[in-house]
Amino acid sequence: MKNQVWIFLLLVCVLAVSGCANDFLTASPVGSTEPLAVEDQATLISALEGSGATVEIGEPVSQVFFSTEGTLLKVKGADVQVFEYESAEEMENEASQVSPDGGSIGTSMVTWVDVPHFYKANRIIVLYVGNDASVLDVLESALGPQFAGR
Amino acid sequence: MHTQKARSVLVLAVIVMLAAFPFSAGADHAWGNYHWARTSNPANITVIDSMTADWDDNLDTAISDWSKSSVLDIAEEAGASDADTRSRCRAVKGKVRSCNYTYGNNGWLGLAQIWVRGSHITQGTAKMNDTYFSNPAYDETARQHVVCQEIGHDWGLGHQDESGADLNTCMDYADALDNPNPNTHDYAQLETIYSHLDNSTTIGAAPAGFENANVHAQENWGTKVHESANGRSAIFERDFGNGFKVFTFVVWAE
Repeated sequence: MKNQVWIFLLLVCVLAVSGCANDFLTASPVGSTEPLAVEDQATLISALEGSGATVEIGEPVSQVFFSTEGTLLKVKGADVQVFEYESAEEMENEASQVSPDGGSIGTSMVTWVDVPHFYKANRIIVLYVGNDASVLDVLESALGPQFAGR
Repeated sequence: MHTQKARSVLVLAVIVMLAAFPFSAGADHAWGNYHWARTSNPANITVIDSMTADWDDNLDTAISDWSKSSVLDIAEEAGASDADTRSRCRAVKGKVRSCNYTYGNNGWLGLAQIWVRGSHITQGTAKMNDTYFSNPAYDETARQHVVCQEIGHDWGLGHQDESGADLNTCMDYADALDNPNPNTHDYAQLETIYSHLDNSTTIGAAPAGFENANVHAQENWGTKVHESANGRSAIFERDFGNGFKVFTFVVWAE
């Protein structure tokens, strides 16, 4: 009887330890966070900084082809324009006006100073006009592939 | 002998046909279906010069180039060129306005906008961004390329090709801005776009009296064009010409 009790207790302990071990193995390390889902300008900045990029918030920027005023960010020293909308639906309505090569938006035709890259996430459209690979890398890691541009 | 003669005749016939019907490759870069509505060709479109003196020769050349089209006849009109006018670059109904200004660090050298009613262009603007053009890296050829392209968009032309290839036209999408003029494909495309005629026009200002037409009094309603069987309602039409009309729908009080 005594042996049976000990075996039972041992079994309980083994089961308990295996459950704890499972939790231990799958638990995130203390202080770590899940990758941020970019929803707006604030979370974009957090995501970019989380990738190691320096980000400075600059002046407002307006584009006639977007209904909302944007913000010029300096990402790794490069100008990146962020346009934040009230809703994802509103953002998508405007993003849908951008031609696949980024050369036209609605009834506007644009001659860019460099290669245009359009990204979008939830409530924001992000425009980078340039060709710095390191900037493109951090933007893509935060936002996914561009939806328009060259 | 006969075979050789037949071949010679065939070659001659092909040459004659090609001379009579020149092949126009790649004339398919219309900007959607956008075009100026007009009832006859050539389309007489006015470009308002709201540019500073350093851009005047570029605009003159662009207008001269586009006027070589068989379906366009472009007139240049002097416009205000103060900083406020150029910065706002307000469109004028029935015309195109060309402007230059330091529009800011927004990524574009030139921007063309059109206003449309369906597929008909009603007004347009072409903006050149001096924030970048003040950089001497943009030489005269680059300036000419951009103003030529932006004005060209206002006729309803898109880019000839969007691969970025240099196509020897100001309407290409290449990074090198080294083509100051349109080419034969641009003119061919314009002929295609403007090969039809419309029932009305969107070119030029509205006729005098149209925009502020006084239609309060019945005597200003024009001609009765329809009346209901019981006489309770009617439609009047006042024709200002060139497709500009005011319709008055009336339901009479008992």
